Amino acid sequence: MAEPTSARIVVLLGAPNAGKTSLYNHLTGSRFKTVNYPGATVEYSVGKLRAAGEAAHVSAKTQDCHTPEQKPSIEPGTVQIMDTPGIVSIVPRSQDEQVALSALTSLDTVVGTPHKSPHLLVVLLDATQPARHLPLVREVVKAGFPTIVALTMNDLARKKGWDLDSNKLSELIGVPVVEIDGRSGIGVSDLVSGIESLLPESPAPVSVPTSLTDTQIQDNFRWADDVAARAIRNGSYRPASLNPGLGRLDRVALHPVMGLVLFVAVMTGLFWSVFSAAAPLMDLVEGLFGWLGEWAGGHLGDGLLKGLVVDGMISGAGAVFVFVPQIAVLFLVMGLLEDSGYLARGSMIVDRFLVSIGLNGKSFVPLLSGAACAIPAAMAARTIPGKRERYLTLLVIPLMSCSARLPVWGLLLGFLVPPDKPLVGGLALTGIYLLSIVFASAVAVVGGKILKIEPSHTGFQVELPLWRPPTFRTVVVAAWDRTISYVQRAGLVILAISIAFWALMNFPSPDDSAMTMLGKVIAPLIAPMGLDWKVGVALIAAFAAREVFVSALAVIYAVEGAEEATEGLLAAMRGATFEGTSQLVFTPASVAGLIVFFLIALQCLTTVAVMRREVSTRFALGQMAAFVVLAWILATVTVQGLRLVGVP
Amino acid sequence: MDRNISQLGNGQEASIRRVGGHSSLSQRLQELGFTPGATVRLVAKAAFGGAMAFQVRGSTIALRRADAACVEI
Repeated sequence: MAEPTSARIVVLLGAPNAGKTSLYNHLTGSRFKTVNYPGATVEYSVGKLRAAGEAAHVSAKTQDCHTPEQKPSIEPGTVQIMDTPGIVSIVPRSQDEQVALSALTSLDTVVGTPHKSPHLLVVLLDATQPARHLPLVREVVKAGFPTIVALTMNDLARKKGWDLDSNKLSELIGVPVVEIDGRSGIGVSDLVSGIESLLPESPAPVSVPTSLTDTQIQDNFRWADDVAARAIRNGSYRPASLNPGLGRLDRVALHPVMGLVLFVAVMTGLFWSVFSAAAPLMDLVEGLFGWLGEWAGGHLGDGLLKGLVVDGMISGAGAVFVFVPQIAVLFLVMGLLEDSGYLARGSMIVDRFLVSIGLNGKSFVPLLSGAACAIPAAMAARTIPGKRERYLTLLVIPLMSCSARLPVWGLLLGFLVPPDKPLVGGLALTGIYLLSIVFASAVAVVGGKILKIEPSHTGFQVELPLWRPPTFRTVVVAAWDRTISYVQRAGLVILAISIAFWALMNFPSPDDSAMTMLGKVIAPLIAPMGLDWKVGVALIAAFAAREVFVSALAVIYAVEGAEEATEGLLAAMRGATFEGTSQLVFTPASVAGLIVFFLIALQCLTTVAVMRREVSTRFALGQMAAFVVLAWILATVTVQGLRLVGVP
Repeated sequence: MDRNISQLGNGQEASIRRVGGHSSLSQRLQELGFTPGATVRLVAKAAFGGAMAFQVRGSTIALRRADAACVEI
């Protein structure tokens, strides 16, 4: 039923990596991160269509460490553009494809609209592989959707040696075809005029098939081959010219030996750069917070307020924000990888290894993005078609060393490794990432034995996109957005917890505080890990966000006399003893135990919430309980084992 | 014994005769462009019997070796 006031909805549809998100950004003036990997979009985005000539109201958005938003609300009377995950066929075979299909057949359940199907489809057609993308166009037109075809990447097709004629295509398919350039935005205004002139008042009745027969699929391709051949302007379309062999880069990247060497080098380089490239910037941030503390201390006079601001807020936040440059470097390097087209190659190379632990080559990208944050990683797992492989991937994603753990590693490695040995520090951090991969593999194998889901017959298939030199601006802007989003999210939690901590430690009185009482209760639980109640309290606080562990320690020890961010905290840690004794709390063994604890413990409540949504409550709670208990046991074993062999 | 595309040598081309295997897999392979009559070229093999990359209809697609074995030539 059509209401004249309700919004009209245009859905962008197309094969994975066809450029839907680029086009969406142009049409709505958004700044979503685009990625050169098939399956980068796994959720909907909805935005208002920009009128031709209207200035961009740029809205940057990132998915990192945020729970994805609820059902988007849309403004009545407007034209709304909806971005969807890529689909290969009108019959979905994985979660992300199911998400896209819902936009065609049950739109009312995903956005605030009374209609079951959209008013108009814009289907993207990649000119470099027309024959492969045309069958989908045919299926949606047949189903009855009013459709415009947006012809993308014709510039790349010209480089490959052909040129598609959009007028001829339009004549052969029977719907309008507009040529656009997703990177520069050329042609987008023609597309907007096309959308405006074609957009009906209410959606057309459609019938979407729920399955296709082999004959239908083959018939679609026969039609597609024929249309592509006839629409090519310079007439050089032969199967041979379509399969031109590998480029120079792929001859290395996909070589059985060199490809594997390159893969290991790229992954090591990624984690190495986090440590080494960030070092100079970290000194800068550290200096800034030291100066801020002194400045605030000088202006606030002595008293409670100075204690709160200098010891609570500034030292707490400073201890964590020192590590923001590492996080920024991680986002930057991952952005370069995403933009280049390497990720799909990587997943092809590791499929063999992931299969042996019960996962899939398609688990690679979710796991790698788990090194940034488990939340987008869990959503990225929707691209894994087999349920069993998807659940196992979701099981181990929280074991990937995410960016929230970086400040913890920074502090603990700072304790273990002398500062004059940066090479050892870089190696140690790479070692931590390796250790997380070892743990995750072991858990995947054990989880595979427990999980009672039959293996599915989905196999592993991934399209290898064309290589593309990363656009410096896109990558830097995306890394900047993600870093700012991290600072905002972590900053708020850290500030709140630091203030709460400072209050708990100073009331009723510093000698007999609420914190001491809490500490006494948890001391027996923490003793086997070789630590005292103060660290125990910081570990509990880390359930708000892992990096809070660092700021909590800073607040706890700052009260006891230290002033500067990391240096001061490390000095305080080296001097900390069990109450009433001269026995040191932080020793090589107990710090190693802490590293093991943080590698395994699932201390992120947002992750639990997302797992609950992606799988089930039982799965999410079981996963958290198992990882916390396992972390405690293995940390205890590490500490006691090391002490047994003589490590203090 | 039927030949399949996983037995192709590097750079070799062949025309697909039929796509076998479990129905959901064989349909997905066909939807990716591996339909009877299409020309396929093997372009890369990953180490240790891992995935293989094929060119079909102008795209490069990586398939697990066992999946590729369903595409008969």
